[in-house]
Amino acid sequence: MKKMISGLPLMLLIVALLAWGNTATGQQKENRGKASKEMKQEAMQQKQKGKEVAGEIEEAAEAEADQAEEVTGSKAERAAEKIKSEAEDMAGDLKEEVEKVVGKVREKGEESRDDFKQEDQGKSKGNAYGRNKGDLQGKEFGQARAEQARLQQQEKRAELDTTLVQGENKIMQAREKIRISREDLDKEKAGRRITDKEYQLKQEKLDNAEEAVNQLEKKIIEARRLKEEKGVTDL
Amino acid sequence: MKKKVFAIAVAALLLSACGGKAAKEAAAKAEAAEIEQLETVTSQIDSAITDIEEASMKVDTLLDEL
Repeated sequence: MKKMISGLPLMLLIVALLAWGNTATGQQKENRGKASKEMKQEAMQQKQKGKEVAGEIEEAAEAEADQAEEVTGSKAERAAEKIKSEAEDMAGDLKEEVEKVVGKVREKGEESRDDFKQEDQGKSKGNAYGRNKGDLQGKEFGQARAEQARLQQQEKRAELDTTLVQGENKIMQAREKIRISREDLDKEKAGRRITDKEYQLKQEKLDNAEEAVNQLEKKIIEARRLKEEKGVTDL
Repeated sequence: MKKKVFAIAVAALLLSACGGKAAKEAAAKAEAAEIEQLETVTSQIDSAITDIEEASMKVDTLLDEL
């Protein structure tokens, strides 16, 4: 009994060290999980990018081939075939490259996962009690939420890019239309084909349209600024 | 001597237990802050898109009136 009591502090020390070790392992686990997730995401992105680029090249080649065929003649057909085959080669090369990258990333991910599993099994002998408890699920839930928020933001960024391009095009077209309308209006006035009242009314409408275009431009500038400011947090 | 070792052991045990909990809490807080920031930016972007779309529609309407 005395021996047991005298060994108690030592046992407590060991328990404390073990608890400390567990915390460190937990953090390692978390880091590995994140790395693996990032690798997976990177692979997915690379794959998608590759597919998109390959698709674009193929489409461009097909479009060029179609154009060449329209121009007619065997020369054009041959040229089109050449372009098509070149594009297909390029697309093939690109696909191979992408597959290589994806393979590498996947291997890395699997390696780190295997390492982790081995380590985990080695250290958890005889005490798996308390693993995958509610706390871990909560952590996973948090990570999933963060991931979802990131994806949502990426989607919105892409949507904003499209909206900005469309808005800028609209501004250009609208300004051109307003310019032409003003010229026509001045010509009509000079030719006395419209009354002063009609002229005033049309001028007002043109001014209103111009003001709306200016407002649109302002919104686009603001959105661009927001995009640049928040681009720092791009993930 | 024994008492001292015992006290140190208890202190170490408490420290490790509290430290782990604090680290977990800090990580959870950081994650929540990150999510909040992401959602705020997303909302700002969404609002910018809506503004541009509305302004664009107004331009269309006024151009049609010309």
